[in-house]
Amino acid sequence: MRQIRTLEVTTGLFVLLGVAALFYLATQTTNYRSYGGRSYRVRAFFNNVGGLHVGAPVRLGGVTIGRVNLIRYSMTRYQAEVGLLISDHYDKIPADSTAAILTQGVLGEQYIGLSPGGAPTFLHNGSTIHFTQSAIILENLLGQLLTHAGHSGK
Amino acid sequence: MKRFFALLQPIWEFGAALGRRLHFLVTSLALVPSALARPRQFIEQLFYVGSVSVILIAVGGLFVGLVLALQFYTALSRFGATSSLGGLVTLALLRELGPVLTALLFAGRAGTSLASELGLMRATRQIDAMEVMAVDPMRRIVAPRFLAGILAMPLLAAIFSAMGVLGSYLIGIKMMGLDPGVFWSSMRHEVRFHSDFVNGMIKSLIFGVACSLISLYEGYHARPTAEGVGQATTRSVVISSMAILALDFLLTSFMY
Amino acid sequence: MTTAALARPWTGTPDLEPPPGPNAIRVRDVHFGYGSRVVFSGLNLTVPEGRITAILGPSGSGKSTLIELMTGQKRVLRGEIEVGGEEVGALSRRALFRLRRRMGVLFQDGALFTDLSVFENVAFPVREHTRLAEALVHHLVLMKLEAVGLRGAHSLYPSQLSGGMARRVALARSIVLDPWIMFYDEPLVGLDPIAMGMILRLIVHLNRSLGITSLIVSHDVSEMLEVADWCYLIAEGRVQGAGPPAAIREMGSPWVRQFVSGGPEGPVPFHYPGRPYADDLFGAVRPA
Repeated sequence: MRQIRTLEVTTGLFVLLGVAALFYLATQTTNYRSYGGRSYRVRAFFNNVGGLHVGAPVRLGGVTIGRVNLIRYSMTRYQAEVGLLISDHYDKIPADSTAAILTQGVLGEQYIGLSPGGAPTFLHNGSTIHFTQSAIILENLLGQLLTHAGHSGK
Repeated sequence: MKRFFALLQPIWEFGAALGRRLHFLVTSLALVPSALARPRQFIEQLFYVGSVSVILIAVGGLFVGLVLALQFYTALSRFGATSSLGGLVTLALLRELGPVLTALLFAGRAGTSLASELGLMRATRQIDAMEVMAVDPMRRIVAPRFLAGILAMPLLAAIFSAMGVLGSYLIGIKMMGLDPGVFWSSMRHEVRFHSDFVNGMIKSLIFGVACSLISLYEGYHARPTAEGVGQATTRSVVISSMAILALDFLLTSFMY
Repeated sequence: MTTAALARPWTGTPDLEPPPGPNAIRVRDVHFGYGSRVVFSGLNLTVPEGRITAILGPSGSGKSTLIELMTGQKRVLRGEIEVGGEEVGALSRRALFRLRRRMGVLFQDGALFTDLSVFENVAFPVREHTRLAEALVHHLVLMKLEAVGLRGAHSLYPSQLSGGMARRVALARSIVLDPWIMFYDEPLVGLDPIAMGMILRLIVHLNRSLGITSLIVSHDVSEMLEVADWCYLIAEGRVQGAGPPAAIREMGSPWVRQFVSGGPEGPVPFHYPGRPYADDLFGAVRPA
């Protein structure tokens, strides 16, 4: 009987350890937090999303507050529609805030950066961000730079 | 014509062998509820396939984490990107190395012991004895071991990966002096819950099914001699390892 | 009727008249083999109910296979085997399991479950097939262990038992649910004379006191002739002779005589068939 006890206790410990490891990995090493928890949806329209993709972070002052959950082209506005999922903790973002598609480092991943406006109303589920700034396309930029250089060199 | 059929022979035999294993799988899966209905036997088997492997898996995971962190640190420092160390190690562990290495270690530890145990039961006619006592050996012997194997694998893989993360922490922060905040936040930024963690665990679950199935099948159908038991044990590791690596390729190409 | 008249030496016809009384098992024209190897070709025999029947034959004559056919572990290629009025080969798995609950089988080496204690081994069929209270299981198991004289060894594990003890535990396990028929597969193989005597005494006791029909498969001719009520001699896939022990002893066939007396000379050759000795030694062509 005593042997059986040890066996059961050891098995219990094993299962406990395994479940603890699962829980730890899921919550501490992944972006589970920003998926779980409650959040609200906001839309933004851009002329060009560049290399932005679903799952890219949404940052406010460099802090990740949500993720991009949808990118599609709107045939009514002829603009790219981007859906943002923002955590409920950040429910006091002014309605006239600006959303910009920025790049981490020179060639890094693209993300959405919000810069707060000054309106007394806040973004809420279903609202649209009106002020947007499209992705900077490096080719265009280089092209412009070269034309400018050409003109000034004349 | 005869030569033509002789050429087909190996294909036919391969198909038949696959069919027998598939039948074994279906029978075992069908008996899983009955194994759940007898928790005592199932818990006992969970001990023999799970608890006894914990030390091996934990130590293995720790060392793999240490090595990964060292290697990635060297590689990343050439790009000046050591801030991504935590995320990179965790990605490698969760998506690939955790499930695969755990399954390979499992095949070597628990798989062989399952195969040799069942082979011995076959050779000493314990399986026949049960059969003539009107007790279905598939239900009484195979089902609880199968279920225990399936459940133990993801748990062991989680322990492996968690220990690996610990190992990378020791190298990254304690030894190389990376900033802890950057280290941990790179994990949370790089690693996705669904596509990395959940998919890794699904892989592990499938490896658990494959490994337990192969070991149990080889043991159950071992030739009833001392030699047969040895061969069954060897075959269980060889076939399991090949199946794990092949399945890993298939699953990875479907999942990601 | 003299015993000699009862015995029917092999005449080339496989049909031997069944012994008197009701029958537990009827084997009719059974054919069986593995691949190209023929084990039985037209086997006919009957096992009388409530008696001890011995099936004698040299090693490799398929005696153990016969038990596997009777218990439905293997299926015949042709012919039929009726056990307790049911044709084994035609039963569904469920029906076969119901029939097996009335059978007990003692395997050659006992086939005890190595991970269970002696007590749990004997309790195994009870726990699997009944929902008796623990106290009742305890009583039942100790009663059966007492019957084989091993009540004191109930807490030991199979690895701690001698060959004879293991076989007695296995016997206790196979009778714990009071079977209607017992199959003994080479019950004396590998035992010392004392253990042999104990097993034989138990077999006879179980038959005489509980009326369990017993079928023993063995090549220990002299011991079997002591305890059996009826004997069959099988070789080369069929019955070579049948009758009560006394008749078997007096049987005329040279094969039977060689088998019963255990002589090295007779129709069963000492040498495995091969090329002439001189050819192998001095022949120009080396054997493959």
